[in-house]
Parts: sequence; C-alpha cells; structure tokens
Amino acid sequence: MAETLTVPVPMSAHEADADRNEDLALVQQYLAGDMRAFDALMIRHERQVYRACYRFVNNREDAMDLAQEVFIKAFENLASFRSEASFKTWIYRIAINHCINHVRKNAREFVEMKESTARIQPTVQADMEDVQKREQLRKLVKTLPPKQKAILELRIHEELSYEEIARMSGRSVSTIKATVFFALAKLRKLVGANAGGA
Amino acid sequence: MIFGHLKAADFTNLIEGETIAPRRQKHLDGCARCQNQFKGVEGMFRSVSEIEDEPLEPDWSEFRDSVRERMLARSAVRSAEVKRWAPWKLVPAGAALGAAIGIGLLLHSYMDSKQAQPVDPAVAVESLADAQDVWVRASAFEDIMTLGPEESERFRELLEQEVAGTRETRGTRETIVEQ
Repeated sequence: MAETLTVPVPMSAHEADADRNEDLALVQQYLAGDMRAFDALMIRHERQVYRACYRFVNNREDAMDLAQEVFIKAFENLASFRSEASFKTWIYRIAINHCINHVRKNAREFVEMKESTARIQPTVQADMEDVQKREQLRKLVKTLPPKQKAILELRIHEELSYEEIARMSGRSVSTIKATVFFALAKLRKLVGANAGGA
Repeated sequence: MIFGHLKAADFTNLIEGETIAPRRQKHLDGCARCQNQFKGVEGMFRSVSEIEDEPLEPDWSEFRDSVRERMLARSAVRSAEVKRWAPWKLVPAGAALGAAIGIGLLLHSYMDSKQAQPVDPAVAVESLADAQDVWVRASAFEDIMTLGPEESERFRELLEQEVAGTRETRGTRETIVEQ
C-alpha cells in the first residue's frame, strides 16, 4: 500500500491573524455566557493539545486525562487570558506546564519505565531490518528525559517552530535548540551503545 | 583546531539548514570533531523524523463530554464546599468580632468615667470666683488668728459696729420698700 506523505503548508500571516481573531471572538463569546463557544474552542485546539500531552506521557489514557485537565484549567482561567498572546500559544503553554508538572510528580514512574525499556536494548541485533531499527529507535526516544523528548517531538512530529515551542514553554529559542541537540546527541550515544552491546 | 567548538544551538541551526556565524562556519570547516558531531546528530534527526509515531487519538465527542462533566463536577464540589463551611466558619468569626467590639466599648466608657466632665464656662467662672472668695476669707481668718488679745478685742468691736451698721441700713431699706 502506497503511503501518502502530507506536508503541512505553513500558515500565511493573514491566515494566522484571521485564526487568532476567530479564537479571540470565541473567547469573548464564552465569557459572555455562550456555551457554543466552549465546544468551538475545544474543537479547534483539542487535537494539538492532546498530541502535545501525548509527547510527554506516551500513552492514550494519560494523554487524554492531561488534555482534559488542560482544557478545564484554561476555561476556568479564561478571564485572565490576555489577547496580546494568541489563544493557541496560551493553551499550549498551559499544556506544557501542566505536563512538566505531571512528569515531575510522577518522576519515579518515568524512571521505572525508562529502566524497563532499557532492558530491551541488549536484545537488539546489529543487522536488524530498517523497520526493526525504527521500532528500536522509537523505544529509545521514549527513554529520553520527558522534557527533552517532548521538545524533540514537538519539533519533529508536531512540526512546531523553535520560536513557537519557546513561546509556549516560556524558554528562549537557543535553549530549545540546545535541548533538541542534546536529545539527538543522547540518542546517538544510546544507539551506539546498543550496537556495541549486541 | 581545539578551541571554539560549535555550541549546541549552532548544530541545531545547521541541521535545520540555517546559516551560522562565519567565524563558526570557518571553525567547522577545519574541525574534525565538530564535523563528526554534526554528521551524527543530523543523521539522528533524520532517523527520528522517519519514525511513525502517530498517537492513538481518542473519541473527540467523548473527550468533550468528559471535559464538560469534569467541569460541572468541580463547580458542584466547590459550591458544596462553600455551603458546608460557610455557616460554622462565619459564626466564630462573628462572635470574636462582637466580643472585640464589646470589650472596646467597655474600655471606652471606663476611660470616659475617669476623665473630667465637661464644664459650662459660666459655671467655671463662678466657681473660680467662689474659690478666690474662700481663699480671701481664709486669709482673713488666719490674720485674726495671728492677732494679739488686744488687737483681737478691737477687731471684735469693729466687727460688731459694722454688723450693727448693716442692720440699720437693712432696716431702713425694708421700711422704704414697705412704704
């Protein structure tokens, strides 16, 4: 079966402005008591918020739970939303901070998961097929520190720009770029260790 | 070239096809270590991009329903909490406030009773005159007490004459009034 490669087309400045204004109008409608705006805002952003959460926790249930909490937090604090930032950036920031806190609270759980995936490494054969290699790499990506992994995946799989990730996470662009580099360098080391151990 | 290796953000810029500062580019061209590092992370970036890691997506309408339900549940819990704690939490606070006000009023009235009552200026002037009169009379009395026997006798006679004179004058006045 032929795979189709979808290349996201970057939004023009005009489209981005229209998008932002539509969000702003929905926020105002919701604050004025229009509950239809509640659903409309969720429909517009639920997928991206969920995917961002998934990048931190790697499982559907936890990601769904976290994404729901993010929306609850956002709607409860919608009155404090300043229209200088876009709603998308604002809700992403809530999502990333919420996920970072979740990861911190459940640090032990993540270490355990890391150890369990690390045990798989010696079983990998050096001459594995490409598919197997990719599967192994996917598992190794999961062993990265959660913040590093999430930033790497937000850039690579969610195709967010470094500027967007920086705005959403409240960090500088160079910090985000450095984080991506360190994640890649660590993966390279892990793959090398894996190949050496086989 | 040992020093001036590329920084982490420089490698990411190179991976993304961005240009780096000419000085850094010059360093990269002559540094095997940085070149090796760059090739390694660039390859890894490509490999990670090739991983199919599409998250399993939830049922979105179920997702929205759940958000709505959780928000309702939270607001219900919050209002129940307000109802539960408000009466008994406000009663002691009110009682404490009442007690504080009562004590304050008692102290105030006690302090007031200790202070001098306000005086009418006219009464005050009269009282001052009385006080001065008493003082004058007391001085005269002291003078009498210090007189010798002869002087005392003479003073008594003078007083009697004075008293007799006063009676006469009063009698004349009363007669005139009667007429």
